[in-house]
Amino acid sequence: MKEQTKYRPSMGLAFNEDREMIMLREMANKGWKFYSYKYLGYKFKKGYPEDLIYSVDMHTVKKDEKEQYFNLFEDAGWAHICSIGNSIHYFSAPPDTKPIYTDRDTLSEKYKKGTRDVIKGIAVIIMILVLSSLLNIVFDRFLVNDVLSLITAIITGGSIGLLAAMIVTGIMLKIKSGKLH
Amino acid sequence: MSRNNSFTEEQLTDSSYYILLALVKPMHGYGIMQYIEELTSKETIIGPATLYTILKKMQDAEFIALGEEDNNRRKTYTITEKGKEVIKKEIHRRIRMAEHGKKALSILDGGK
Repeated sequence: MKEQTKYRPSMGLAFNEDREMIMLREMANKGWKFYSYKYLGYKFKKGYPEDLIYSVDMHTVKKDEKEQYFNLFEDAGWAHICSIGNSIHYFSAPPDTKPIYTDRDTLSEKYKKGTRDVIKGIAVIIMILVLSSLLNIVFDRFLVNDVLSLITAIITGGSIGLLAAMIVTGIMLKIKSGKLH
Repeated sequence: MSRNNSFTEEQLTDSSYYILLALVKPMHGYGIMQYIEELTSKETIIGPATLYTILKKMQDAEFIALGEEDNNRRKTYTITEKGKEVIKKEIHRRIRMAEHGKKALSILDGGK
């Protein structure tokens, strides 16, 4: 039998976290189980309908801490679905499971950690941006190479777009963590 | 970054207080959650993300240390000497607070 899958784009966790968690639950109710986060969106597999709630945690978990971290969630009833890198982790559980965050202080820290990760990302992109625009100038004016000049121009343009998106995300996360304090 | 990881000069939050209280006996993560739920008759519950965040901070502050792995591959946490000092101080502070509350209660009830 051919495996059925579906894809839904994510509107960005910083803006839409609560709504997207509800969307994942509604999909599970219809039998579509979220199993992987790819290409900035959610991938679903067809299964039997089930009522499941979803949560996402932001926490940079080092390799040697992974087992401790995921065991804790599993023991509390939260099954690990997938992670983005080593800092964003998705979980699902039956509806009566207690929430992953149970106090405001630690919940606010979740978004602070998220903000820090975004700031790191912004720093990396700025470096790429500076480098690619410098190279672009070199290939455009000095070494005259159309192909390389075009490639560096694309990278420069792409990183400007990404930079704008990340700055907005960072601000949203900052506001979220502030609201909880 | 250490700004967010430090416990210095800070009173323990309710969650941190109960977690450190639980660790007067060595326990693994899930044991801590269960113990607090039973102790407080579910008035205080600790979710796994809250617990992990606080355990990490307490390890950084050297209030607790990671111990041996049990047969289920779950590591136990133990309280350090520094942690013992902190929790004792905090227990006494909270007892004083409760005593102040009792005084106020007796006035409130007496005025009925």
